[in-house]
Amino acid sequence: MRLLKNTNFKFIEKSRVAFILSGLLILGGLISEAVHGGPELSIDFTGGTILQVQVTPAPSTPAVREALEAGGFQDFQVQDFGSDSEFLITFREVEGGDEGLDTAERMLAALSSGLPGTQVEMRREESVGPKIGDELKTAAVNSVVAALLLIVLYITVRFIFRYGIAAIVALVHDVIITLGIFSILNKEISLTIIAAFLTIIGYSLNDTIVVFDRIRENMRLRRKESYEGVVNRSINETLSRTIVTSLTTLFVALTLFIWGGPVIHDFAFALVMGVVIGTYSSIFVASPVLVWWHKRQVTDAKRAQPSL
Amino acid sequence: MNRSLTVRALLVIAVVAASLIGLWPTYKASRITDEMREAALTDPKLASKIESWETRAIRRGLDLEGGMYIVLEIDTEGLTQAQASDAMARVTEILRNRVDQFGVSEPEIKPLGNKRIIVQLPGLDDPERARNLIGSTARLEFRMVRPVDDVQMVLDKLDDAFRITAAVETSAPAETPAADAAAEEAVAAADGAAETVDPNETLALDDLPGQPGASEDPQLGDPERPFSGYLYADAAFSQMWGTPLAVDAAYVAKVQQMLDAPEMRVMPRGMEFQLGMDDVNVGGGTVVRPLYLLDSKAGLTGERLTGARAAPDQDRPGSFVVTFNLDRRGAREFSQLTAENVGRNMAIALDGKVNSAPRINGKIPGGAGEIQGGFSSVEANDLALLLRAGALPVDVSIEEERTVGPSLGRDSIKQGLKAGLYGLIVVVVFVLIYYQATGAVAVLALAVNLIILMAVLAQFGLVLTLPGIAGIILTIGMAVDANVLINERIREELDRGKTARAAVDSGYGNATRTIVDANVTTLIAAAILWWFGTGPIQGFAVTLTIGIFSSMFTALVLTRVIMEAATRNRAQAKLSI
Repeated sequence: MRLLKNTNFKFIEKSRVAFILSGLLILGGLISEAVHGGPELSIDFTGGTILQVQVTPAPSTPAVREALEAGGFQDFQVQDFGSDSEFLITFREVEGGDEGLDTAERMLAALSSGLPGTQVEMRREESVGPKIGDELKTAAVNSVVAALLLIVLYITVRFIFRYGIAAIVALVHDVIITLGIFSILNKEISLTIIAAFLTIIGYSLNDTIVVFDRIRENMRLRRKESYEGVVNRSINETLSRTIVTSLTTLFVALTLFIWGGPVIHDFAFALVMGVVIGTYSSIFVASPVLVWWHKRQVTDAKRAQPSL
Repeated sequence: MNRSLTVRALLVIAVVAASLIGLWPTYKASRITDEMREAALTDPKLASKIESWETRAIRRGLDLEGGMYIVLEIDTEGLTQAQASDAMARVTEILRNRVDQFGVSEPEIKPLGNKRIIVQLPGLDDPERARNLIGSTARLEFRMVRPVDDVQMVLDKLDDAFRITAAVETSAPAETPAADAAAEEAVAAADGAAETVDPNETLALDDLPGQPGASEDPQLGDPERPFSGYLYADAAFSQMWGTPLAVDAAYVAKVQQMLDAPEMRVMPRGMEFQLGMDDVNVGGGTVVRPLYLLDSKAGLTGERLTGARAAPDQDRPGSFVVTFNLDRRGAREFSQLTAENVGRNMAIALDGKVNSAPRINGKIPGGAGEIQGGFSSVEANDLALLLRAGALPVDVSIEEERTVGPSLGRDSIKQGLKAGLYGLIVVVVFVLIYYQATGAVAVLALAVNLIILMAVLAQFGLVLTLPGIAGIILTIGMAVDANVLINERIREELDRGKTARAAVDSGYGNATRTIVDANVTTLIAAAILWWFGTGPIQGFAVTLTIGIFSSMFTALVLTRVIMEAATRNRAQAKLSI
């Protein structure tokens, strides 16, 4: 069986459409970020406590909220988590709060006394002090930046700088759009989501490199063809592989998303987004940027020696 | 060529065999039933088998096993670098001692940077107890309670100090937002105090023995008495717990805050306040916390302790006390201390809180004592354990804590396996339909890939976490990529009219470089994940990394052996691709 044989889509010609689409996605994300006042950070970065409990028989979410309020808590969030009987309670520590990290225990006590006749089971509890939260924030940003720099370096060594720039544009594009989607869907950025971002960076590049590798090969074989033509041909030649690989990766990311359980739900979601956007960007962003950069260099070179 | 093919084939077989052997304990460990465990109690041979399987099986992370992850920070303020690193080493040692005695299996205690320590306690799901065990300094001190004359003098001094501060803050209104807030808070606290406390139950300060009429109008929140206004004073208290002072339970936090305030520097040298450990119900609906004025120098510390254990409380049936013994030098010092202070009260303080302050009726030889407090058996045993393991040389604070209950861990494993199985099925079906016979080779490669991945985890004692499972599942999807690249290449070469043999050769040749290049970037990302992440995320980086290497091996070595063998003798052989 063969899905795409000897295709000849005009990817580069149509890249204007892709630029508009990407622009809209990025703009939408940025607007959402502006409305929300920046990305929604989890307690990993802000400091605070999350508590996952299973309560049987299942109470309503407002009942859980009331029990906590009766226990003296304010400014917390209660979400259904996975099933009706499970709840995720998020409580952000007031800055410089001197409470220590025993908030979760006090919450559990409040739930037990506020929901009589039920069994409250602690499933998971995470507390992060504000100091560590700040450090993790810095570490997260540093790690993403370090990943981007190292990858540009690697591509520059293996190819040439122009390819590195094109790849980085595609990667930044992927991360910004995924961030935007997280913001629009009101999903929190946690440590695991940063891990997913780094994976996306690694994965998205995988596709990009396969295309670049083919471009480099075709440049040697087809010296007479225009640069744009070679790029377009290379995308088409690797298209079948790109689609097949993206599909198998998308399949597993989807199974994780559907069956992997609530704890890694958002992580799996980020991976699904990353596979889709990463595949799109390696065809519609990285390669056109390469062509555009090449054209600019050529015109610069011409301008430099007009009389010849 | 043929010889090299044989060599490579043998290599592949050796790797697969080694992997299967490496995975055997994991397989056996997963088949251990409750009946087997029961039988192992009487059968030492079976017990040692089970233990050997479990120690060589794939290690599960805290998020799958259930347990606690704690990051502690030691207080290095005022320490030189050498002292700080010495403190780190000693804290680590004492914590290890405590955790060992606590009976957690396979705890992990390791330094993180130069002032933090990571403590991992698998299988532990009582965070409160663990926090006590890890976060307590366990500094036991014996300090003399200051006489009543000192109390009145100190209270007057402190009242003056706080009154001056309050006056400064009100005379410069809203200079800074902080000052404003502070003033507001003080006023609000004073208002609240006046409203909530019934004056009839207020125990007057002038009941203080030896200081009759020291104060005309004792009232909580009195602006004239910004500090002592929060306190009750009663000679009867001295009879009950060794200090005339107490704080209403509702104001403990407020008083604690004042005790930490800069005004405290007016305290006379050699004295300090410490709150009691527990609230006391004095009847009439009033619950108070005793407040002690103590010598700042401890007469004796827990360093001289040789043993501590829980024992039933003779006075209160059902509750427990902790009895302790001092070493010879400690006993001598204790005996001397008590002889010199007959008639005074001696506070037994733990981590800056007074447990009790009995009156010394005479010299106490022998060096034995007890800590009371209506402990449960568990609490008394934990405290005894802490005292035996010794006090931490510096204070520590818990900065990060993550606990997963055992039931969630089990659910996560179940869900992870389910997602993995479904993912595998979908990918296998897809690859078989798309590449047919060559697809079968890719599927075989995938199976071997997974076996190698798991075997490496088991063999090197690496930890499998929930994100780690996700990494394996992701590997299933991405590992096919190498096969896809090769197969697509071979298809192209066939399209150009090459024979199957030649197409296979040049297909692998051309694809290898691409595969390596493409995988290096994921390796870069995985390396950064390892460096930046904690436990679960490192587990992801681990499986991702092994997955990349094992899939390169299976795609470039294993499948190539099979493809070459299949096309070796038939130059015109057809490839089902």
